[in-house]
Order: sequence, then C-alpha cells, then structure tokens
Amino acid sequence: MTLQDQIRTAAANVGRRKLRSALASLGVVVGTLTLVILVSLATGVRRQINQQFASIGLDRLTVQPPGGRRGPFDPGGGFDPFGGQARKKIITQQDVNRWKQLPGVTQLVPEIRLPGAVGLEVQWHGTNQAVHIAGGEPMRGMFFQAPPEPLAGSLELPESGGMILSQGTAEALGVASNQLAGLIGQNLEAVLRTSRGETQRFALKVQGITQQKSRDIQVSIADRIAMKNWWFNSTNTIASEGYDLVSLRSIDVTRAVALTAQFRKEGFQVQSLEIVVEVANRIVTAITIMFALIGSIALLVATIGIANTMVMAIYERTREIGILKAMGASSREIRQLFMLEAGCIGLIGGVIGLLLGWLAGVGLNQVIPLYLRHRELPVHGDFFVVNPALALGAILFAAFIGLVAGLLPAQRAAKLDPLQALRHE
Amino acid sequence: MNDVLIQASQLTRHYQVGKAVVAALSEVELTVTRGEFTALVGPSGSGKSTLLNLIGGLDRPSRGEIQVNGLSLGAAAEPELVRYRRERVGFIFQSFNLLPTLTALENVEAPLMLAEIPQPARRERATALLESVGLAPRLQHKPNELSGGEKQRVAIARALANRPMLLLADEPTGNLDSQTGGAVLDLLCRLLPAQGVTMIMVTHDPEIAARADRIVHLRDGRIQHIETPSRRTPNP
Repeated sequence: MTLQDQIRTAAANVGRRKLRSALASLGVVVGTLTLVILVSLATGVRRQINQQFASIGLDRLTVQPPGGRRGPFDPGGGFDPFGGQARKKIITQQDVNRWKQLPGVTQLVPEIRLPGAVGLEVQWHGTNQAVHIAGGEPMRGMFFQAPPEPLAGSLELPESGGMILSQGTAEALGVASNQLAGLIGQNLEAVLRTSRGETQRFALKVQGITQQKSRDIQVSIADRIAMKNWWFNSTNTIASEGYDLVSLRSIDVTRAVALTAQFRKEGFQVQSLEIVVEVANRIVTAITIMFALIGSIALLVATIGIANTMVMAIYERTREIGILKAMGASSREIRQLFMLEAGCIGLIGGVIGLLLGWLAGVGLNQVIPLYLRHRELPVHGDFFVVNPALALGAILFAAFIGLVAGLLPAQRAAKLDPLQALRHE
Repeated sequence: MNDVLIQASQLTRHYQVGKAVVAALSEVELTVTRGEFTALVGPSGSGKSTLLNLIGGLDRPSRGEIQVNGLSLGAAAEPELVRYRRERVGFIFQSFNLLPTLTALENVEAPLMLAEIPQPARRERATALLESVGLAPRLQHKPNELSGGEKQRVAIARALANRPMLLLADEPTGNLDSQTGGAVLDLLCRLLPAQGVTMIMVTHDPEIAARADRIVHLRDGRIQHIETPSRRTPNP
C-alpha cells in the first residue's frame, strides 16, 4: 500500500465519524490555541522589550581601535615611554564607508577626539575661558540620556565653522542666563594652545546653547580634524591615526548584538550595553519556553482524547482489520493506517487551533492599544505576534501529538489475529 | 510443470481452550492439484474451516507441514505470508465481509490498492471484474444497498482482483437462498476454470459439494475419506 493511499484512506476514515473526530480534535484545538496565544504573546512581548530598550539606546554601539583608550595622547593615559607609537589597527575612512553599508546599520557617526593635552580656550569680548570639547555628534543621548533640549538656537552643527556652547560656558564668559539668545549667530574664537605657547585661532559661529552646566563646547568633526591636524602638524591625521571612535545605531537590539560580534571579530573594541540586552532576551526566552511548555501540556492532555477515540474506532472496526489482513495487508500497514488517522485528527485540531489563536491575537491587538491609550502609556505595536515558525511549529506539533496518541491503539490493531478479528461481531 | 499446488502432510492444529487442548485438525494428509475444485464437507467442528484457514495462511499449523506453490506456510516469515495472502489467495466468506463504508467498486479496488497498483489501472481492473460478475450497474452502491447475492458477487470480484492462483471459499452460499446460491456457484464454476484458479470450498450443502472435482469428508479433525464424484459437469 503506498503512502498516498494510506493517507487518503486514513483521511476518509476520519471523515466517517465526523462528530467523534471533531470531539477528539477539540482537545488539540484547545491545546494549540493555548500554545499559539501564549507563544505569540511572548514573541510580542520580546519585540516590545526590544523596542523599549532600543528607545533608551541599547541599539547603539561605539567602535574603537584596539587599545583605543591607551593612545599616546589620551587623557589619563599617563606617561608612555613609547609615546607616539602608531596604533596597530586604525579605523580608516574605508572602514567607515563599509560599515555604513552593513545591513541593519541605520546611523553612523565617526568621531575625532582632541588629545587631552590640548589647551582650548574660548574668547569672547576679551574674556578667555578654558573649555573641553564635548562630542559634537548629532547623535545625542547615548545610553540612557534623554536628548538634550536647546536653551537657545538649535543643536545642529553646520559642516564646519559652527559651535554649540553649554550654559556653563556661556555663564563663564559672562553672559547672563536671560541673554543667552543674544549669543546665537555671534562669532567666537576658539584658541588652541600648545605647552610651548604656540596658538591657533578658529573662528566659530554660535549655533545654540545646551542646558549643560559643565564648561564645554561642541564643534563639528571637520573643525576637530582641522584642530587635530594643526596639533600634530599633519595634513591628514585621518590617514595616519584613523578615527578615534565610531558611534553607530542599528535597526534593533538583536542586530546590535550581531554587529558587536562582527566588529570584535574584525579586531576592534566595541562598547555596547549588549549584556543588558542579552539578559533581557534570556529572560524573554525563558518566559517563551515556559509558555510553550504550558501550551504543550494542554496538547499532551489532548492525546488522551485522541487515544480514546482511536481505541473505540479500532474496537468498532476489528472485523474490517481482519478483512484487510485476509486481503494481504501487513501489520505495518494496519499500524500506519491508524497512526495516520490519529495524526489527521491532530492536524485538523492544530489547524483550527492555530486559526482561532491567530484570530484571538488579532482581536486582542485591537483591544490592548485602547487600554494603553486610556492609561496613557507610551507603548505601541502588537502584543501578539504569530510568526511563520510558530504557525508551522504548532501545526506540526499537533500532528505529532496525534501520531503519538495513535501509537498504542494502532499497535494493538496491528497485532490483532486475523482469524479472531474476522470472527468479531 | 508441477501439477501439485497444495501438499499437506501430518497437518495438525491444536487450540488452547482454558486448560484443555482441543485438536481442531490432526495428522491431515492432502494433495490438491492445480485447477481442481475441492469441496470440504463435514459436521460443525470437524476442522474444515481450520484446514481452509491454514491453507489460506491466516493460521499456522501446530505441527506438520503445508506447502502451497512451493511455499512452506508453517515456516514462512510473516512478510512472506502477507505477500502470499495478497498475491496468491482470494477469500470468500459466508458473511461476505465487504468493507461497509466503501462502494462495490472501492471494495474490489481495495486488494489492488494493497498491491500498490496505480489508480487508473486499479479502477479499470475493478470495473472489468464487476462487469464480469454482472454488477456493472451497481459500481457505486454501498454494501447495505446490495442484495445478498450481489454482495457475494462483489466479494468474488474482490477475491479475484489480484489474479490469485487459489480461491478459498468458506460456505459462500450459506447466507443465500438456494436459487441465489446456485447462481453464485454457477458464476464461480464459470469464472475459475477460465482463469485457471484452484478452488477449495467449505460447504454443508451436498448438492454444491457434488459439483466439485473431489469431496474431502472431515470428522473430528481427520479426513474420513475422499470422494470423487463420478458425474463430471462439463463446462457449458
């Protein structure tokens, strides 16, 4: 008997006792429903958690050259007897261009840091104020920081020649807090000074003022490259030293973790809050497994219903089994026939359960946002997500459950003595 | 060519009933040649059905030997016995034993399906067989829509589906009135010699037994005597 004929016969036998097959598959329907709802909830929650984490910066990472923080001019690096040695591996312009093209990278900002030994002053109306250069990247609010609000002007820097002051710097320059707006558009001079007394002036136009109390300024990367070139008396520090730091943002947290691994493999230092992400994902995975187990238990209970139905069916059809054996059906064929029949019941239940679970999820996805809006919680998106793997897995598992349930009854049918089966009334 | 199809020697079958051992068949010696029509007669419990089931490979001997077409049924492995039943033997029962949920056509197709004959050939063969037993207008009827005689004719078509060399009939006319039974027997006597099928039939009816080439009389599990009716009915 070919497998095709076996499946067709088994399906026809399921159809013979419609009510009983339906009742037997009801258990599978409930089990699959539970499984689909719980796992799709866990999937949705994982997505929610990742989105929430992404919104506080877990989708971002910073890449540095190996040993990047121990460069010869780095602050806190102390005296280095081999000062001036070249970095073993630098972040080149090519690296930056290549990384921009990587899948999942949505934003990428290369950074230049001025050595800590550089003396920088801001000069305005005769007042000199020593300042630090803060990161001038437009990608603000790394790691848990809320994006800063401008006190005045805007926080966008032009390609070059612009500057953003902190409130602290402005106050140190003698500008009262109610006159900050007057600074916008004014030209200030940033003075770079070496320990040997050489100075270089850069004229920069004030773009905006931040709320920060620290005394620092932000200038564009082009200006910082210019400052660094002057300091090192070089025409192109990018070619020799590379970028000091690259901040990038990925499409989601999972991608950030993958990118971290990739950059590390390339030999760069990567900083990210991946541990937090990993722990969060581990917790969600544990919850998913727990939910899947609860659903599976419901499905396992369904095996009892199927097994009972199969035992009844085999008792009723004992004589038919005898006829089939007399006609030359092997025990194996009889066993497969009944196992397939049980598998069919499981499969039907699985498909119906999946459909119901999916519909329930779609419905709840409509209702939950109403509640969230009512509570004014800033959460968006679906809570129940049925992905293809879950759908396929649930159906296959339901069919598998049916097969398992049919195992013992089918074995009993296969073992029937043909003569006794033929005599059965 | 070897003319002996069935060779039984010292064929014995015991059944365990509670603590007692019942000898259903004892030390039976029987030879059946190809193309022969053998009738097994005897009172209830004489062992004729047991003998038929042993020949059909539905049961195995407790002792002794039975060979059909060179296959030793007592020693054969289960898959060999399954193949033997499927390809060499057709059964006809007193109670017809059709599969109740299948149509007449599907019932005849069932053994062809077990033999893995592809579907178009299956339908063709089953239709031809049902036509040859005169049931062309009844192809799509379920067994409960057929009369007793029609059911038995479906059973005959089914038994012949895989072109067996041996047809085993256990009181095929027992549930039919004498007229219908006679018609069924006529059908068998017409179909089988044409296909060279050997038939062994268990019967109570002396009139039917009289149409056989040989009549084997059984009593208490032993062969009493073998009778060869003098009058041979030539096939019309």
